Amino acid sequence: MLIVEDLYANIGSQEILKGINLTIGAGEVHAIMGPNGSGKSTLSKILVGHPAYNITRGKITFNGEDLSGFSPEERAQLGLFLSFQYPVEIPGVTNINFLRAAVNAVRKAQGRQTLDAIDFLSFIREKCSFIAMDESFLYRNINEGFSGGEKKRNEMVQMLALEPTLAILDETDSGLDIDALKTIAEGVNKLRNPHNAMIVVTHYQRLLNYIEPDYVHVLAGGRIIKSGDKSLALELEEKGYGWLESLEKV
Amino acid sequence: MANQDQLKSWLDKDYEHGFTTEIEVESFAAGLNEDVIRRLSKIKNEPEFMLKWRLAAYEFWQSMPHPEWSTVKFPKIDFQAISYYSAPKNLKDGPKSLDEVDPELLKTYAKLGIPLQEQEMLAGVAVDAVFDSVSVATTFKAKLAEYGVIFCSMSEALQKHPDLVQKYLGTVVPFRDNFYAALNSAVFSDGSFVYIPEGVRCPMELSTYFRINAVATGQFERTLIIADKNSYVSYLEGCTAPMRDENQLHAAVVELVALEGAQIKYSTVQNWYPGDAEGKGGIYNFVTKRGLCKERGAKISWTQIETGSAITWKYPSVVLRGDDSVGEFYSVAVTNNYQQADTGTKMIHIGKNTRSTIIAKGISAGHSSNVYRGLVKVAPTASNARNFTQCDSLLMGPLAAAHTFPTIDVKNQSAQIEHEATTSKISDEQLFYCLQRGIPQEDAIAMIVNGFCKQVLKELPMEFAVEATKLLGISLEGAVG
Amino acid sequence: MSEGSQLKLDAHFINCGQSYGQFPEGLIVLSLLDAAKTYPELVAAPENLTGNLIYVPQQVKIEKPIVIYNHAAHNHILIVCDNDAVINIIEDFTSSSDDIHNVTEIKLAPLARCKHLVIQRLAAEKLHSQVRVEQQNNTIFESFLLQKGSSLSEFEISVNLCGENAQTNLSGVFRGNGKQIHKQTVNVNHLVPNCHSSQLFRGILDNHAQGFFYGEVEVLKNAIKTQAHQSNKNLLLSKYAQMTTCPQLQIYADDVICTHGATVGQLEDDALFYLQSRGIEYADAKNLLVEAFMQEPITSITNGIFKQCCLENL
Repeated sequence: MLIVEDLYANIGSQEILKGINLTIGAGEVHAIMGPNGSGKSTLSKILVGHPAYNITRGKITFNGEDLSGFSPEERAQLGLFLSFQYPVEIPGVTNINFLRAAVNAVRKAQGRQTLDAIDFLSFIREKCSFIAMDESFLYRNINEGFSGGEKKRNEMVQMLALEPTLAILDETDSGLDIDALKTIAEGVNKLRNPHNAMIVVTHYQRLLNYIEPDYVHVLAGGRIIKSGDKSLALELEEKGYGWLESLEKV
Repeated sequence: MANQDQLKSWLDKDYEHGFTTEIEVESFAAGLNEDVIRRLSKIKNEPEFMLKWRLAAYEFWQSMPHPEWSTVKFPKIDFQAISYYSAPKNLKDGPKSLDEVDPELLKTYAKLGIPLQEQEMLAGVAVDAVFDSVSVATTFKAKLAEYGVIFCSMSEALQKHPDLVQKYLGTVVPFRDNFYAALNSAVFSDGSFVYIPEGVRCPMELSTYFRINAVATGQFERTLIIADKNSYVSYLEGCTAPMRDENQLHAAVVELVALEGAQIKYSTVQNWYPGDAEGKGGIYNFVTKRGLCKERGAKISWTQIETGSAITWKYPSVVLRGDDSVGEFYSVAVTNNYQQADTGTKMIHIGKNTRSTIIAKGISAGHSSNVYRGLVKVAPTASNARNFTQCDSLLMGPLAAAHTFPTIDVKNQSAQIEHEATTSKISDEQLFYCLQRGIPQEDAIAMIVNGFCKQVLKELPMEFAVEATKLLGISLEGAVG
Repeated sequence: MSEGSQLKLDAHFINCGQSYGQFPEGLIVLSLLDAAKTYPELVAAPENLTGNLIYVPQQVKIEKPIVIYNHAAHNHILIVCDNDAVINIIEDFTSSSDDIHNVTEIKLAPLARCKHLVIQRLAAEKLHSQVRVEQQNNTIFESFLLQKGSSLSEFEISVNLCGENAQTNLSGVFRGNGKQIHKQTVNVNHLVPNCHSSQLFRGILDNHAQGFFYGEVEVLKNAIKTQAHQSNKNLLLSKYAQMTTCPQLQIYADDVICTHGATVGQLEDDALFYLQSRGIEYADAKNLLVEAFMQEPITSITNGIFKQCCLENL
C-alpha cells in the first residue's frame, strides 16, 4: 500500500530524514519508535504533505500513485489520516460542523454518498460511543479548552468518522494515563481490518501492549536503523535508546 | 502558507448587485446653498421648525473645516458637485398602496430580494423601502398600527407626528457634533422614523433598504428610533448600491433613544459598492450613529457586518446615561483590494452600574487598511461601570494592514474595564489541520473565518444572518452552528 | 563612591556629566565634551549638553551594574554597546534641584545585551525623559521603569528593532499619589522579521493622582514572524484617581502574532476581606494586594540585583 523509497527531507536548511525506506502492506500495523529528534514526527507530517517540509530526494508511493503531486486535502481524500501529536485549536468552529464538512468532502471525492444533517448526527453518535466520548463535545469548538486526553480522543473520533486507508498515529499516547490509553487503543483496534493499515509512532513501548504491531522500526538520526517484529519493541524498552547508539556505530 | 491566489479568488466574489434601473428621476441640479435647502423643505411641505433647524445646521456646517483622519485617505469632496435631491417622478403624490408603486421600482426591489409584497407577510417583515431620496412604500402599516407602533418615513413623520420628531430629533446627535452630521441635518431628504409606545414589544423585525441610483447623488438619510418605557424593537438595515465610476457619498445620521427599561436592537448588513479591484469608484460611507440610554435600565445593541464601501468612517456609539443601562457593539468589518475602513465604537458611561460589551472583528485582505478605533469613557459619576472589549484582527495577505487604537479613559475608581486584542493571520497549523481532514482549501478558509466571526454573527436576527454569511462567502450551516 | 546616588548597591557610580576614563574591565565613561574629542564617530560636538558617553567595546562584558546619578536640568546619555558586549545600567533620578529633561540613547550592535533600570523617586520636580533604543540583530534589551515621585513625570521609551532575531522586553510600574501625574509612552517598531517584543506595565493610582499610558507596537510590511505582546493593567485606589490607557497596534505584515490587553479596576473586596478576616489590618491588607498587583512586571526582571533594587524602592 505504501512504499517510501530513499526519502531525504529537510525543514528550512536542516536535514531531518536521511534516507528512509519503508514498505507497508494492507492489513499491517507498523510501529515506529525512536528517541526525540529522530525524525518520527517529520516522517508522519511528510506523508500527509505538510508544507513546512521539503523532500530533497526519494519518492512516496501510495496505492501505486506518486504522492508528490497531491495536496494535503487530496491525500486525505485518497485515504491518508494523521492523528496529530499536538492538535490545534480552532475557535468558533464546532466539532460537529468540522466533522461533517470533512466527512462529506472525503466521501464526495471518493464518489460515495454524502450525509445530510440528520444522518450525519446518528453516524457520528455511533463513532463517539466507540470510544466513550460524550456527545456534548460535538458542540464545543475544535480542541478549545480540551485536556490532553480529550484532544487525543477527538483525533480518534475523526479517524473513526473518516475511515482512512492509512492512519498515522503520531505519539497518540503522549500525556495519557493508562485508562485513557486503553480507551484510545480500543478505538484504534476497532478500526483495524485487512484492507487498511496503520503507522503507530511512539516513544514508549507501553502503547504497543494494547495496539499490537506486526512490524517495529527504530528511527534514529533520520534513518531506520533496525526493523523487526514486536519483540524488538520489548528489547528496546529493556535496553534503552542508548543501545541504539551502539547499533548506529555498527 | 495559504496560496495567495486562492485567497484572492475567495475574496473576489463578483459584486452581485451591480445594475441600475432606468427610470425617470426628478432631481435638483448640483449645488448647495440656502436656496436649495428652502426648496427641499418646501417640496416636502415640512413644518416651520424643521426649516429653521436645517438652516441653523447649514450655517454651522459652513463654519466647519473638512475633517481629515490620519489613516483614511481620499480626494477632497466637492460638495457643490452633488445634487441633493432625487425622487422618482411618478411618486410625487406618494403611493397609498403597493398598486400605486411604479412597477419598475418593484422589479428593482424584487431583484434585490426585498419582500415588498403582501404575501411576504409570512416572513413577518415590514419594509420601508427607500429609493434614492423618497420613501416608496411602507407595508404592514396597518398591522403595526394595531400595536400603536409608528414606522414610517421621516417625511411622513414630519407631517403626522411633528411633535414627536421635534422632541427627539437632534437630541442624540446635535448638528454641531461633527462635519457630516451638520451636513446631514441641513440636507437630509428622508429616512426612517420609528416610535414604539410604552410597554409594547414590536411584533416584527423592522427593516429598511437603501439604494443609490442616480449619478452623483449623495445620500443623506436621517433615522430616528424612539423606544418608550419598557418597549422592545429590533431594526434591520441593509444597503446595496450599483457600480459607479465616481465615488458616491453616504452621510447618514441614526439616532436611537431608549427610555426606561426599553431595548433597541439595531442590526446592519452593509454591502455598498467597495470600488473595483484597482480601487476605483465605490461608496464613501461616513455615518454618525449614536444611541442614548436615556433612563434607567435601557439597553441598546449595535450589530454590524460591514463588507462594502470604498471608505468607511463610522462609530456606532452608546451613551449610558441611565443607571443600570447596557450598551453593546458587535461588529465584523471586512476590507479587500483598496478599501479603507476606520470604524469602531464609543461607550460613554455616565450613570451608575452601567455595562458595555464590545466585540469587534476585522478582516483585512488585498491592499486594504482596517482600523478599529474605540473609546471607553467612564465619567466620575459612573460608579460600578463594567466594560469588556475583545478586538481581533485577521490579516489575509502580506499587503493588508490592521490597526487597533482603543482609548480607555477612567475617572471612577469602581470601574472594571477589560480590553483584549489580537492581530494575526490564519495560522498555518489551523489551515493544515482542515486540509488533512480532506476539506478543500477554500472551504477551510471559509470555515476558519466564520469561526473567527462567530461571536458577532450569532447576534444577528435570523434573516440577516443569511445575507451576512453570504457576504462573508461562507455557507449558512457553518455560520449558524 | 555613590556620587550623590542614594542607592545602596555594589556598583560603579557615575555622576552625570563627569568623565571617568577607562575602567579596568574595559568600560569607558566620558563626559560628552570629552567623548566628542576621543570618539567623534560616536558623538558629534555637543552644544551645551551635559551628559555622558558610556561605551562598552567589543566582547567586553560588564556584569557589575553602572549607576548614573541623573540630576542635571538637561542631560543626554549615550550608551553604545559594541558587538557582543554586555552592560547593566541603572538611571537614578532621586533628587534634583531643578526639573529634569533627559534623553538616553542606547545603541546595541549585533549580539550585544543591555539591561536597563530606571528608578524615579523625585520630590516635586518635574521629569521628562526619553529613552531611545536601537537594536541590531540578535540583541537583547530589557528595561524596567519605576516611577514613584515627581509632580509630573513623563517617560517615553521608543525601541527600533533594526536587526533580525532581536528581543526587547519593556516593563514598568508607576505609583501615583497626592496630585501626581504619571505618563508612560512606549513605542516598539518592528522593522525587520523574526523579532520579539513585550510590554508589561502596571499603574497604581491613589488620592487625586492621574495616570496615562500610551503603548504602541508598529510592525512594518516586511517584518514577518514578529511576535509582540503588550499588557497594561491599572488599579484605582481612590475616588478621585484617574487613568487613561491607549494600547495601540499598527500592523502592516500578516505573518505575525500580536496581542495587547488593558484593564482598569480596583482592589477586589473579596480579597481584602479574606486578608482582614485572617487578622490583617486594612492598610496592610491593601498594601499586600497592591504588591501582588505589581508582581508580574517585577518578576520579569532577570537581573537579580535590579529586582532587589526595585523591591527596595517600591
